[in-house]
Amino acid sequence: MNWMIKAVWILLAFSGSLYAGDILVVVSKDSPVDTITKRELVDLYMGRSHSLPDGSPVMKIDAPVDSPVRAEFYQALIGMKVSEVNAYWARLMFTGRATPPMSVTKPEDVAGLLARNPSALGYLPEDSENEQLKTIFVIKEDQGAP
Amino acid sequence: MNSLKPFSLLKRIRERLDLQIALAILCLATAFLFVGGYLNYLRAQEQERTGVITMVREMVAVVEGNAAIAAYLQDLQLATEISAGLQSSRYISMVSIDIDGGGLVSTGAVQSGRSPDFVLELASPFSAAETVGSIKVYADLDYIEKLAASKGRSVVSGQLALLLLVSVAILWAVRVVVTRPLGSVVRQLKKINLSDEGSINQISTRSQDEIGYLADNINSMLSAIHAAYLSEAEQSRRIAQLERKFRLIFEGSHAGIVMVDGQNRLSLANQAFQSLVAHLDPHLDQQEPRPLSQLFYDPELVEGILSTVRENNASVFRDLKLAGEQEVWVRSLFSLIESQNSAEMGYIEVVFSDISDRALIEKHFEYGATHDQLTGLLNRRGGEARFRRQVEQAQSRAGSFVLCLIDLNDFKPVNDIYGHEAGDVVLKEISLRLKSALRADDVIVRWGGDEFVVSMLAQSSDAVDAVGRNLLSVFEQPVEIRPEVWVRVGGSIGIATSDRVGFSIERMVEAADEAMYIVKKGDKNSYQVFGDSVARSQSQA
Repeated sequence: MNWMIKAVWILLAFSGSLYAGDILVVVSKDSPVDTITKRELVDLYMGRSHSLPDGSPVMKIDAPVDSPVRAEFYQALIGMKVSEVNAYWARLMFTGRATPPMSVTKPEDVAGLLARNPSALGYLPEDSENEQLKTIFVIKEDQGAP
Repeated sequence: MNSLKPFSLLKRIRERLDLQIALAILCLATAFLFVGGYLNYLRAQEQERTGVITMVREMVAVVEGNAAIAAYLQDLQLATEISAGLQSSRYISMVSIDIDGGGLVSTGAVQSGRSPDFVLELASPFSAAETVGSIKVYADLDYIEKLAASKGRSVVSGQLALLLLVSVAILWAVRVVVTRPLGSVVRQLKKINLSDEGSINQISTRSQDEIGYLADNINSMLSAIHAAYLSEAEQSRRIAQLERKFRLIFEGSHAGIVMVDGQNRLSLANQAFQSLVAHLDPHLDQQEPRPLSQLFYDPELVEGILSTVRENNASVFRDLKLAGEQEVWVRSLFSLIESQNSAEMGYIEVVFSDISDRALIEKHFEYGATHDQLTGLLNRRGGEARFRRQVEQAQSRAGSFVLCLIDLNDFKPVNDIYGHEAGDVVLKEISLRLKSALRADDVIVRWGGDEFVVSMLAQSSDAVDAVGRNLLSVFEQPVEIRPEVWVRVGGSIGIATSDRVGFSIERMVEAADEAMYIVKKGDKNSYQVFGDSVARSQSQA
């Protein structure tokens, strides 16, 4: 078993700041939404849709700007770096038609916000499951670049 | 005159090399200009059009990302801004952005029903496979056409200017190098007259090229032709001279000469022969040649002679009688003509001389006209002809012509006393004595009743005294007019020399008469030279 532990350590050492592992798209357990497609997720986070598939309003929550999970989320979802996504929103700032997701300052705030707000939508690393939330979509680690 | 103008222009062009070249260049240049200019115009237009389309494509590519985002977000505001931005270009008249499920944004206007010049499908910025809308661009065709046309015009006008420049340069070069030297050579050639006896002007040109070579060759050819021409002219002049002489011999001959062809027909007859047979009315001037034998009393004999001559190739000499009433005999010499010309093979030449009485009578007539019947000396008419001949001889030899006039003294009493027969005897005797006293070449003429004229050629006038004494000696002896009856006549002699009088026969006779008159007035039996002051010699009687 010794060699397996060694291998995990090596993997962790190589991943660096990048988060390695599945990302869970989650909502409050009181939310009417049980599932969501990847496309609907893209349209929500890139500003095309303003509501959930069932028509109910939604509050999109982003991980902190420099967190590894945020980078992994956008890379896996649309194949863009965080800086590119920032530039995209900056271009749309003047039209006022689309609004970017709300960004939290600390990673641990995401779970709290989601639990308290049934219309909120967010994402978390796979190891941060909790009974207040329900997972509606899983972004697999190997889904990296779409 | 107006209708002639195009013809004279055409003629002028045909005669002028430089005009022909100019016309050819002009025609070619015009053809090139029309075809090439049109093609170049089309090409320039097409280039301009393609360039504009490429530019439009690039401009659309610049805004493609933003347009895709606008379509993705169905953001009409953003789409309007983008389409307005594009449409502000001069090359674009209308832009429309079609957002799938979100509406249509367009800026500018075009004719309805026109299809877009350029369509770009807009893909979703996050999923290349998903189309979110399209952008349609309508180019400003009028403006592009205007641009292309002006480009085409500028290209063509540049080429036209270049073509004109090159044409003028070629014309100038051709004129300097070819037509001007050629024209000078031609002008000099026109002035040359080959029949000029003197030397021919050389053609000169400064060109060292083919024209120079041509001029050199023309010069050598011209001098050769000129020399040939002159020698030809000289030769033909000599031949003409020779021919004239031959004709003179042939036509002027007293003998009849004829040429008989291979069929024994008369081919040619001279004047003497024609007058010989004129009484037979032979129509020799007719085209159809007549047989020679028909002109003779015995035609078969003549035919026989002709064939003998041909067979033996030898001459035949024979007296023949002509046909007709009169007894005319001709002495004939037949001989074969040897000629290199095959057309004249078998020709025979016959020479006739009239030996009949008729000829003798004619001769007698001639003799009677020029001679004195009594003495047999020349009469005045015959004498004058002989004087003229002597004067010509004297002039050609640069000698002297001497003329003496002799008038008998005491002749009238002889006639009166002894009768005319006695006078005739005296005249005959004196004539005989003059003949024996003078040289054969000297001319003795019975000038009048008792007058004689003697003329002769002398080396110089120093001989006149000898002549005078010699003539006086004729009268020394008395003349026996009938047996045992003697009479004495004397002579008064006047002598004229051409050295003093000149070569006019009339003047000479006058001068001799004057001199004789001086003697007649003086002591009668003597001689006097015209121009001398005194009678030189006394009669010895």
